[in-house]
Amino acid sequence: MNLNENNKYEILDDYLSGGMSADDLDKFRAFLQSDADLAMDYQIVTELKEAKEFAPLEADIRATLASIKGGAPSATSPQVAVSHNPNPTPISKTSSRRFLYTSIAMAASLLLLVGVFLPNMLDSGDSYAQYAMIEPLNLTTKGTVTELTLTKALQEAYNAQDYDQALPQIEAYLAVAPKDMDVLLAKGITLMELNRFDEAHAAFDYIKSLNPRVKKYQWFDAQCYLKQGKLPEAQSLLKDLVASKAYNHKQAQELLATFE
Amino acid sequence: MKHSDPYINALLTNDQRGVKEIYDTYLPRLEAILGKMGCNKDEAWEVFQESLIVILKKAQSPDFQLSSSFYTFLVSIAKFKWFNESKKKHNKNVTIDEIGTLSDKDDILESIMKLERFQLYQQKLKELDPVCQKLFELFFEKMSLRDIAVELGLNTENAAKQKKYKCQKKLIDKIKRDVIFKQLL
Repeated sequence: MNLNENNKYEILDDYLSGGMSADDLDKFRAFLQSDADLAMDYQIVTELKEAKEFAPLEADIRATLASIKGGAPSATSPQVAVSHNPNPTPISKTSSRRFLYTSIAMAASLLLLVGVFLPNMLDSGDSYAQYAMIEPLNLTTKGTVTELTLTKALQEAYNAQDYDQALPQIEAYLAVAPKDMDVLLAKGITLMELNRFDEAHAAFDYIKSLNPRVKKYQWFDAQCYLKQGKLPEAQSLLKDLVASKAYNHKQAQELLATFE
Repeated sequence: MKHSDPYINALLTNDQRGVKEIYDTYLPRLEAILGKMGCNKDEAWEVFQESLIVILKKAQSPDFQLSSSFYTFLVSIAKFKWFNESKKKHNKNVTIDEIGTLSDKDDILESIMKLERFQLYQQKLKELDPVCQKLFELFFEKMSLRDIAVELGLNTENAAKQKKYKCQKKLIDKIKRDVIFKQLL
């Protein structure tokens, strides 16, 4: 085994995934024993994974404590600090069409979550109204003046919940950046808000076809069914969110409980 | 995961009623104890909160056993936390009277340090460029490298893999260079 600066993370990955031969395993363990720097790399990589797995539990307890205390979550909480970030991190796009940096502001997700418990819901339409809080879209671009204008117009219309105005802007944006997941989600939500349900479901299905593992679309797909009064379809999607502990799974659980 | 101690169980399941009972029962007592060590009410609240996070992290371990009452365990951790915090905030050492009698003091200290390292990692992740941040976000969501390549507009799975290693190197270099990290080892 030839371990050097260029390949050590690849070898570390092999080790952690259990994909190493017995011979290489012995050699690598010997490296770990003798090379303090490599041992530190190993510690960081394993703890980073552990930290990420622990983060949701930590955030949940902090939110519970904050709600019990009756005040805002602690500013020292790393998860909360992220949520309150007024300048969310843009997401890079490497599209050849030059639409590059976009992001959805995640802060509003807190609105969906913390301390929201809504008893005595009357029907699924009410559930939709109570739970389908829409996050603001926060797009920033590095592009031409036209692209910047388009982004600004889209964002303003969408965030003002002027969905009639937002939809053509979204279509124009997607003509340039057809796989922008944030804007595709905004399209689905916009169609849902305009009661164009079949098209909304189609938009969510398209997101699923591109990337089935990020299940944010599924939450809104469920909301769309709720708005239509199609409870079994909504329940099925919500149950899947709960089972897979995906986006808003706790809210999905709460929502499901209100149907019982 | 269910634990025989109701308070530990409340933390593990994020049971609001149980957590409130911990808050109502123990925060005032902790404020009184830490108050004698120079800790004001706001600081005691922070220490209380962080101590519960330490307990939650420890309780996640399958071999975790509570060797004392929940209250004793909470107070021990809170005292260590305050010991560390007062050193950091006020640059002064406080005396922890029971330190000599705690059989698991090294373990508690290691847990506190580990959670502080976790916070540092989160902070350093946020200092990375947006592409690396996104890549890690997707990677920790257990998205495949093939899907990550699609999401990031990279041509191949291998390109995503190489990008991941580059981002990993950047992150680890940032962490190792931080003076706080060395203090947390």
